[in-house]
Amino acid sequence: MKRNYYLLLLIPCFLFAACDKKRERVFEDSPTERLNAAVANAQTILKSKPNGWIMQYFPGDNAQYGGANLFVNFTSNADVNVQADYVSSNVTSTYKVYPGAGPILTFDTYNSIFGFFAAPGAISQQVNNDVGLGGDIEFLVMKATADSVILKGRKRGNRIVLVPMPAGSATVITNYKTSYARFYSPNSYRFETAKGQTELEFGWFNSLLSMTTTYSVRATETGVSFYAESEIDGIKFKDLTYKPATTAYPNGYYDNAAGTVKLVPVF
Amino acid sequence: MKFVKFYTVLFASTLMITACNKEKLDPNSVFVDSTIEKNPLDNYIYNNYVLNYNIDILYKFVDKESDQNYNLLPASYNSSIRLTKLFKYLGFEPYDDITGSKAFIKRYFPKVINYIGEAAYRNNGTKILGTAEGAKKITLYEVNRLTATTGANADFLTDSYFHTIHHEFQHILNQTTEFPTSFRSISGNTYVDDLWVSNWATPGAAIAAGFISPYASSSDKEDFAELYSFYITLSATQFNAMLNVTGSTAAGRTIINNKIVAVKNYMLSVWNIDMDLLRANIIARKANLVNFDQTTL
Repeated sequence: MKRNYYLLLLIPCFLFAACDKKRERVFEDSPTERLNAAVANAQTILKSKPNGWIMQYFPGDNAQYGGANLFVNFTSNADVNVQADYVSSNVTSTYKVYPGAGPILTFDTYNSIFGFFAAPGAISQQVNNDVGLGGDIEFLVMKATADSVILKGRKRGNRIVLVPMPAGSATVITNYKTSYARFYSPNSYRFETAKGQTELEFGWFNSLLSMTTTYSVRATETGVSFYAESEIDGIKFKDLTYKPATTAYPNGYYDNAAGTVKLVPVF
Repeated sequence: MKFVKFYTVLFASTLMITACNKEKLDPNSVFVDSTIEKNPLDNYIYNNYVLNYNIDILYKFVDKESDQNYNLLPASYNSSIRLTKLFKYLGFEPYDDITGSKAFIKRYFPKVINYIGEAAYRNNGTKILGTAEGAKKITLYEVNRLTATTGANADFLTDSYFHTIHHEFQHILNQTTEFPTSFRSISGNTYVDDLWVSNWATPGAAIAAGFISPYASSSDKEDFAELYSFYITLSATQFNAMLNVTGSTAAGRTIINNKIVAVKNYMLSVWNIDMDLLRANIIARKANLVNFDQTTL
């Protein structure tokens, strides 16, 4: 019988332990308050730029199809105006920031500029019937500050960066469109390094394919930028600058700061 | 034994203290919705759907309400306006007119209508045009196909949206009060289940076997809903043309007509709805489509 007293004593111990829910908080505010604040902050930051943002957009799993620059301007708490370098459209639709695993930015009515990337291939005539280019229209806001907003596509997980559109947005957009047209007009490309040449051909949208590697490219104002740091013949690079035509390169070329890698258009 | 009692009381009191420690729950969500300006369509939906029918329309894409297995596009604002106005005109008001009040739709129609811009495509190129989940939600696809041109085409509207709407609504009525089992015995064991996709070389072959459409041959429930929806959304001329399509037979037509009688009896005895009156109402509305304003909110 005596042993049973001790057993009985144990039970209330468990019960009291279960009741003790108070924990030292790592952060001062509750998770809910912090999420609400993050949503409000994301919304405020997105809306704070009168010229909007330049969105460095990459569709598809592992951003395998190259990217585009979308010029998004959040004009009210519901409306967003979108232009892009790859197409001449200028479309207004709606957006919303709502709480999920963090603040989530969604473009929630049809916008043809996002639609081209997000549509099933049966509609956009890209890649395959069901997924198409696989562009996201919902993004997790990873970071929102006055200098940049970093998003992560909810379905494909691509990192998408927004930088503020400088003053004189019309000129900037024209520059981007010119740069895009210049990048997209050749039939193919080749890399040139000290070790030799590597032939490239266009894959879906803005991707360049060698025999072994897919390069995901986005045109920038000054040249081209790759989704991730890329490598050819052991030389690493991410951004290449456009150099105008010379006698040896009648169509110009793109190269890195050290001049060790050239991306040469082939017509 | 004193100790035993002491510990028992201690134990009991522990339970009581634990049980009493209750927090009051706040009825409001802890997450604050960001303030979004209401646009004219939001107001229209609130005034015409939420207040009258207790039904909400999600024309803006809501990820968690949509089918995650597919790549989907949101509906466009302009097409959403058209479909929202037409939904009331061709979907709800015929029932209001026949039953004499909005109460019927308010009580039985699914509470959420979800718009998706394009169809949900499978890898083989086949697509989904509409789904109903339980008695709660109807999802309509290809909303962006609705334009000034297609909006004026009554047959397009019927094929793309309203056939599906009435079909799914019939399922919900059946789930509330089942149709008589005698209906099943008319076509008996000739239902083909999933083979409906490949079993019929032409629509006429399905008619000859006593099914209004290939899909109707999948099960008695689908058969019932297909018969109902085709009957009320097509004029007598269109319906007869469907029954007399190439490959159909008189024997097949007889089976279909017998089943139509069963559907009509069910609608009249259970729901007090005369399907011929409902059809006349819908056909009159389709004929008057040219005069119906689809864009002003």
